[in-house]
Amino acid sequence: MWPNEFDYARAGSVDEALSLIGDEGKFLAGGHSLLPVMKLRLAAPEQLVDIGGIDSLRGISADGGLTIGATTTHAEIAASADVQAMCAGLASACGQVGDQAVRNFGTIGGNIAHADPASDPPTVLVACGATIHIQGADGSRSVSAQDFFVDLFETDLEDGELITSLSLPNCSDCQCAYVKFPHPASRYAIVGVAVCLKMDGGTCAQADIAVGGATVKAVKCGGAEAALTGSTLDDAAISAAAEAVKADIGDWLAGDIAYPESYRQQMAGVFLRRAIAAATG
Amino acid sequence: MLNETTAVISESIKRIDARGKVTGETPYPGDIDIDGQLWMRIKFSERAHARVIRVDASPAEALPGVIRVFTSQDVPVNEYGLVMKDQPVLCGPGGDKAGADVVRCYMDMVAAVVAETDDIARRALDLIQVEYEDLPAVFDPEDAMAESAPQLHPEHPRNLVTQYRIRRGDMAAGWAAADVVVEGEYETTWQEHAYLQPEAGLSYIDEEDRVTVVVAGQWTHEDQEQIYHALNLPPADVRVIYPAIGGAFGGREDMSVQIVLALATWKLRRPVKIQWNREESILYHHKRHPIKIRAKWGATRSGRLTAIQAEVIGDAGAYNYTSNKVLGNAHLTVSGPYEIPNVHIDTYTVYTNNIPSGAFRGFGAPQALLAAEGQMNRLAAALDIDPLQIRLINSIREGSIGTVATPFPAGVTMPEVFEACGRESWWRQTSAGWTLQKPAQLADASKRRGRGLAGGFKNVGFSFGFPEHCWAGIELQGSAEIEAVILYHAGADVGQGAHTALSQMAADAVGVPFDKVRIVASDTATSESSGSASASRLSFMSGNAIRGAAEIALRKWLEEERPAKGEFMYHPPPTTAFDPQTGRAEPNFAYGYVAEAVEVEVDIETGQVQLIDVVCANDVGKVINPQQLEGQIEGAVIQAQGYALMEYLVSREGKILNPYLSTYLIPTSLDVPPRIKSVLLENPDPIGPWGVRGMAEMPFLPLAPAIAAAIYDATGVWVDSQPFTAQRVVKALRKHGIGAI
Amino acid sequence: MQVSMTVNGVAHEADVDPRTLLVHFLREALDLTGTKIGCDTSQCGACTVHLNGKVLKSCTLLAVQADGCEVTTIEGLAEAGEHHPMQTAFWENHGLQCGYCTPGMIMASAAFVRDNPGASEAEIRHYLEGNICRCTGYHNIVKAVKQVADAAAAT
Repeated sequence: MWPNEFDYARAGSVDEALSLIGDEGKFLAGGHSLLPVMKLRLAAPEQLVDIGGIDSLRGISADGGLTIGATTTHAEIAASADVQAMCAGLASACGQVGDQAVRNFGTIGGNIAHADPASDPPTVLVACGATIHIQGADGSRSVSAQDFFVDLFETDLEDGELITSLSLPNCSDCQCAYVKFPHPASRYAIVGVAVCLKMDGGTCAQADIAVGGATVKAVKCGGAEAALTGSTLDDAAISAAAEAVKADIGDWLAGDIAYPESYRQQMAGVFLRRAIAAATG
Repeated sequence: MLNETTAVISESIKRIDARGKVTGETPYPGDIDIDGQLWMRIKFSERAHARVIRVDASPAEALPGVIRVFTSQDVPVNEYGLVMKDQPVLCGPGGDKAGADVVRCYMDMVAAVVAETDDIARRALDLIQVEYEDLPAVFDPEDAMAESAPQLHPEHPRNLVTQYRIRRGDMAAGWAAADVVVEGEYETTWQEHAYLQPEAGLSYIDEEDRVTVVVAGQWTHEDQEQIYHALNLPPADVRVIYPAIGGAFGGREDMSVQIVLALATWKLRRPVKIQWNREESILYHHKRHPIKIRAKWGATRSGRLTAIQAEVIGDAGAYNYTSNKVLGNAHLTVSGPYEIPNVHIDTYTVYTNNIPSGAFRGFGAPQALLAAEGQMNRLAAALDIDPLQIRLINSIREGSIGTVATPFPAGVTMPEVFEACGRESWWRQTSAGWTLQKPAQLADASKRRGRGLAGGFKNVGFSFGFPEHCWAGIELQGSAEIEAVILYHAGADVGQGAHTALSQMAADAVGVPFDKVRIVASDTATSESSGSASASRLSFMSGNAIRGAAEIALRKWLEEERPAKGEFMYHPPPTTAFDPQTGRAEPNFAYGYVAEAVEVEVDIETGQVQLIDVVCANDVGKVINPQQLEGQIEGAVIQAQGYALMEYLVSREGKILNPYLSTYLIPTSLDVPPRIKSVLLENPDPIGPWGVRGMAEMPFLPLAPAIAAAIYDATGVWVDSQPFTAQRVVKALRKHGIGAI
Repeated sequence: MQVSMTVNGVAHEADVDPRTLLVHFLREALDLTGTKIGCDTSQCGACTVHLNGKVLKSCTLLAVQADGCEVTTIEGLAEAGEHHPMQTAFWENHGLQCGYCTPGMIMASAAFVRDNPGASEAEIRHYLEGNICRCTGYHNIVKAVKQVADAAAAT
């Protein structure tokens, strides 16, 4: 399978990338989200601007919180001691993307720009309150992960804008986990649940929860969060949260013939329980 | 020299093709290029059922680099098909063949473009204008059997390709004698072969002016026949060669690129290459049959079967392919490997506008056994008799009369196979009979473990009166001593290791060490027909042919002929078709017998079923190469695991919606159980060479019903529709109030 | 578009259409047909090669993205005429049937064992999830990789 014809240019810097990009152009980093859809002719950009060689877009720094360059690969994030310490859920999610070959070259920026609902990192980014940093011809801006993911394969990104990095608060004092029900064989998430719990003694002071896979985009689950906040994570609270999460995602459900929406909705409750157990276990 | 003990049989001799495969040097059809070759792309039907009014190729032919667009009028005899020539090579108006202007499914071909490059050929496809007149279509086989349904082939009213019956004994007496009657409805869907090598081929005119096609298939001489028939050429003018074949499993039994490639090269006298991608491979070759089975079985309190009734409806899709034979085999195996006095079975093979169904490892038996063994497991539960025990009570044995009112061929070992499976897995034999040892349950209450068993049998070789045959040639070279043995054979090595096993047989038959044997294989120019690499037949049939050829060659060697050459065409005992009224037949000359026990873990909250452990007992008659044989068992079990648990081809109104390995999911290394235990029995088949029985399909047959039994053992819930996806299992569990949280 | 890369130790320069995938470049421009195409959707791993030492599905990278890189394919795995231990292990353990997945499977496994000598069977199964085999049921493949992993840990 061959992609459509396009013009190709390599950018040495962010400014150069922004100057090169045309109306029907797309940025290319690892290409592990973009090239597969181009091969299937689901995308046919007229131009690709390769940002894979821009050093400033790559790498992880930990200074109070985490900053992760857009072209950092899933493998690098999964293996990073800083990410493991400050956001264990993200390390776990990036370690579950595709397979090792895909994680070696697929980048976090490409992943979120593609906004595949069955992919793992977006769910954690939404739960953990990540911020996406974007640069365009008119300057730079930042948007919360929750606002960044708009719909199925749809983000807040405007034409010609480039994701430069993402930042995350330090969650090292939270109980954080990402648990998914993987599709057999493909291991995409049938449902993926990320939880980030701040405990104060035995009480849950703050609960951040997001669900992906079962939904057209990663969804922040306020109802489930409210059910846990202030509780001791007792059975009643967890049952209430597992019930609430189904309502939280009710407007955003996705499914297929083997795993229809109603099934995935049920499973969101099951996997919220399992994610809480993993986070606190 | 000739009497030296060679010890090549039963040895794990390393594959003769392994070196090239581990270094990447071995060429598959897509890896071969010839200078000056052109590229072909195929325009497929865009309708499930329509009359093709007009095909305008002129805009495509005007594209620079396009050499020619072939349409229906270019095909001399516009028909093909393995058993019935019911499919046009290219659908369109203007030919002699009635009905060739109709497309009956999305995999019908309408035109073939030949161009200087693959990319030009691809672009030209979009420029071909096809005008269709839609015809009403039918996608459900039961709907298709109605008088009012659209008729796909006029010579088959009610879209019935075949209708088989079995009428044996006295059904009323059978039901009267039953203390328990269980009924079930079982449904299976398509399965995709998903061999890793997508279809590809190269055609050219060889040095003897033959239209030559290099392709991956399962029966060189059948491909040759299909080609020369369609091109109306003398057989000797067509040559088919198989290089390395990237898997087959029945999926290469029918034509894909063969005829159109030959057509183009014959007309243009230039080499032509084609390479399908995965999407084309999934969309445009046949699948395993969806079959619906309604079954009713009765037994006495002591577990003895008294009567069975079954209705079997198979979806052939738009063309027969091997459907009539597949459903014949389902007809024969839907009663399971049991003695039953009273039998009433109706089996229908039905045309629809779906993708054609055809050969796939097991050939109708996996679907039929899902029902048969499902019924047996239900009876065991209803009667509270151990599932192995009840099978042994009813199992066919030496001298048993089949449902087709004739004895099974000598060498029935089903009871031994059942017992070996039980003994090597989790059954204990006591004075009271066999009992299953239940698995230990985990601390995690959301997981439940269970164990189940099923068995089965299947023909080895072609059935129902087909003139079964297999050719081999042996050439002995040397002067005082035999220095080299050349084995000529057409049998396809589809990956199973046939060429290695056949070489072992040749070494033993001649009495030389293995390294003196060289095989010249899979080329119609060097061999007569050896039949196909299918029906678990190749070792059985070829071994007999090789022995015959070796005997002749050795006799000539002793008569001082140099080189000494022997050829032999082996014919097994003849078989007969079903009697249309009673089903009486001598359907097969040999069978393979298998039983499997599995342990599963069911997540009762999600419905996900994990296969934990598999024990496969298979009577192979004689092991030729233990390593290769166990490889066949492991591969078949995992392919069956995919079938049972995850492979789900989605088709809507004849159109396949998930034609990628990213959406049609097959097992990975992470899905498979850590252990598959192969239990090899060696009870010789009386007419098998060295006692060999066919085996390659057997381990596939009973896995799905064994898994269904284990799910029942774990949860008390039956699942009857394949695949047993998590969603289906959850639905069944929740209906019984299990697993809700 | 001009591209230069070192493939199996040999420097190559070529002018390629930008949409040429690395796998097409290897197979068609360099005639290295040991690298196969099985699925087109980054699923099956038949096209696995090493790019700067890391495993890559070569159907999911443009040839131009590999500019300046070192590529190793199955044809370049043997050293000084000696098969790589992984090639020998697949051969000895019957870790292949049709052989179409084999080059990719061996390339993935060779990189894995290089980085993870002594890997457990479970780790091997986990790692190989990106390489599909339809013939073997994976058991002999895992056995072959384990044999090399054990040997690597012992030296």
